[in-house]
Amino acid sequence: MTDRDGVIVTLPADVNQVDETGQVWAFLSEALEPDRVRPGALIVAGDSVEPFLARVVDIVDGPDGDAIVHLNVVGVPEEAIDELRHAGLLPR
Amino acid sequence: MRPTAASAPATGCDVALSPIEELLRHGEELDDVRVVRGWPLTVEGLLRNADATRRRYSRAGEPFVAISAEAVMPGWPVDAILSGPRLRTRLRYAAVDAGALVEAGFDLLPTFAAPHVSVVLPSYTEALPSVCWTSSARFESTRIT
Repeated sequence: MTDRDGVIVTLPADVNQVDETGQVWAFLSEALEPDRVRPGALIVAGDSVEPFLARVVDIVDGPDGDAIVHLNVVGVPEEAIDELRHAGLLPR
Repeated sequence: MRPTAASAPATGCDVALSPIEELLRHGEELDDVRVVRGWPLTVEGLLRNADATRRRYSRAGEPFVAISAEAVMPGWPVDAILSGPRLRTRLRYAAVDAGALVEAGFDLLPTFAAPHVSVVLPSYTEALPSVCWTSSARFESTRIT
């Protein structure tokens, strides 16, 4: 498996990894641009091979002062692109 | 399951590792289940998952080194797992019988809400690649829609 060229993941995350909330979670410190990760934001998460779209649910305290980001998995980027194209919000 | 602090916004405060013992589902037998995990399936991806888990949870007072997966069990057929909101985003997944994981030296625990399970590693640094998921699992499918 190879990374997709040029794909930048806002928050590295593992879609298999859930916690007691039932939501996918990741450490905020993993984000290259933490300012983009805020509650309510729609972000690209996962890895560059199989990224996914997620809504940031909340950000809570974690061990060692590292914040934990909870994610609601929305889908895959291709779904959003297809819908935006259908809506005329992206060039066909 | 114990209450979570998920509703409290981050304040920058340090919190202790959460004991995984308080987050187990009791009375579940996992001996005969099939364990499913979506991408990432590389050793690097598995280790990243294990590292995150050990930074957040403990077992018997020590960092809990484990990989997240899901178990095919009554009420949770494989199609339901793969078409669920999280794994439906995966192009690749792997599946392996619990017995093969145990034979390879891994423990399996029912953690959080069903069908989530934790594949426990003997240690974070132990020869994971030689017996890891990717060598014992069979790549089965592409995305189910």
